[in-house]
Amino acid sequence: MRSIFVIARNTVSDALSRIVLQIILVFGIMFLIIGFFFTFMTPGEEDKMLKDLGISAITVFGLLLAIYMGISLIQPEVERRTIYALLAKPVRRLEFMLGKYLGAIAVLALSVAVMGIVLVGALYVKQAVWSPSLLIGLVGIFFALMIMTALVMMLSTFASSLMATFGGFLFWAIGYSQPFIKQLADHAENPVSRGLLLVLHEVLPKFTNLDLRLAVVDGTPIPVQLLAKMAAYGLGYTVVVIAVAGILFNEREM
Amino acid sequence: MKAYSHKRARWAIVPALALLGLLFPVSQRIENDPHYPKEYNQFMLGPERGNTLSTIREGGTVAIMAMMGGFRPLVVNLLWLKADENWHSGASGWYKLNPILQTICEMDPHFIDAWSTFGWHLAWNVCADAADQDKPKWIQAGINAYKRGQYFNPDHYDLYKDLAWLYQDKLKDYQAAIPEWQETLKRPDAPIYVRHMLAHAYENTWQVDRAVATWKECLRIDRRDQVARSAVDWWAEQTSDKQKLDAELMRILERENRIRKTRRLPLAEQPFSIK
Repeated sequence: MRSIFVIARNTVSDALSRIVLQIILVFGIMFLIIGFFFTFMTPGEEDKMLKDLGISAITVFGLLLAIYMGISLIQPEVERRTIYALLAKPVRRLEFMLGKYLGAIAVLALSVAVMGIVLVGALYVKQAVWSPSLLIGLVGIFFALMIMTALVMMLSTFASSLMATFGGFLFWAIGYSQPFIKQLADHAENPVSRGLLLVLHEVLPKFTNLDLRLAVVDGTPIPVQLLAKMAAYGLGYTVVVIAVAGILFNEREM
Repeated sequence: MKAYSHKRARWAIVPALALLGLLFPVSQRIENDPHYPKEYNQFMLGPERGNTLSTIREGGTVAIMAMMGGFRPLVVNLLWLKADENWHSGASGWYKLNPILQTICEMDPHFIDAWSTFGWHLAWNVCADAADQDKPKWIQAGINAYKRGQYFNPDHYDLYKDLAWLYQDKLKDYQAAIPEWQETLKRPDAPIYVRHMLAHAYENTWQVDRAVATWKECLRIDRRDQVARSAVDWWAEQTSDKQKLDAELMRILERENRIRKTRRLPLAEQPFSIK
């Protein structure tokens, strides 16, 4: 347990010192602020556009961060051969991976929180409207990004960084097209294709089930029970992906 | 380093798959939760929802890719900008505006201003520009847009008010306007003038006692409401004398029919069946 904590702490300090991560975060914050100068393009809907643009910016930059963190957890350690020194110590591979993942999630949480606070603060400055409810939408985004980081990390245990990045974007697109896959399955006449589509629908991540952004922007109330179900889905799916990643990492010959 | 594999670790796949199985009912519970904003995440082909095809047509491939990436809010905002651009291009852009507004409404069904603009655009702008035989079709399309918007936003007064105004001002169908004004008043934050409009609708359907009761209700809510005060006083004076009341109702009828003639609407009939 202690080794997991130590690896997580090192991952956090290592990630925070990386220039790429800092650039993504600074760009995210700049985009949030710049968006406030374009509200003249949506007369009468400034408030909605500001919130939509802000939450979408957090999602875009959060996704970039999740993928970047995901690919930089294991593969660079293997390429630089630093992993051998670590695994020579009494640290199991699963502990190494868990520590790395938890460190990445801590950085991701920090980044999303910073961008969220900038958004809420900027909205307050611009519109004199205090909108902390927007942060509820960010909870759903955070769960989706947690799953994404785990998926990219899983891919990076056996594929190159480029393939893992590509696979990550593919998972993201599929995760947001899940209702479409379900509809295709419902309309498929061939039972084999129908079955296959239904399996894909259930096995692949459903990011749409974690998406509350438009509802939050429109001011639709979100009960705690729904948030709890989303948290259960997000955490449960993350555990499954990490378990699969752990098995793949254990199987890898180094 | 020596190559190795932990065979025992492979068995971790069993609890992982069991947990994945447990997630099926969780995800179903999310989708069936009455508070889950299901309509936001619909992205489909076929007759159920036409938004995918219209998004391809209006927003292009980039919009589809953005939607697949979960950036629906951005697509909605970009289409809203496009709608504004088409609006300012004059009547030539009006017909192009219909599918754009429809796409926005389908993609973000709680965007009340979009529904309001869509209904108003169909029933007022496009209708005004259409040939006489096509006018009813566009008015009906506007009514349908308002009603679909009401379906998605039952707790907001705006679209009930808009539909009531369409019935009352454009169609002069006061009887149809009354339930819409009443529905508007049931929703929170409805403006004070809505009750005035309801009273006017009663007056124009010759339901004088209900009109007076509504004006009195306005006064009860706000004693400084000068419009309601003068209406109550005026009706008190008229209703004290049957002959005077009939003459006044006749004057209202004539004024109403003058407006109807200019709008080529069927004339109102002799009412005087005061309820």
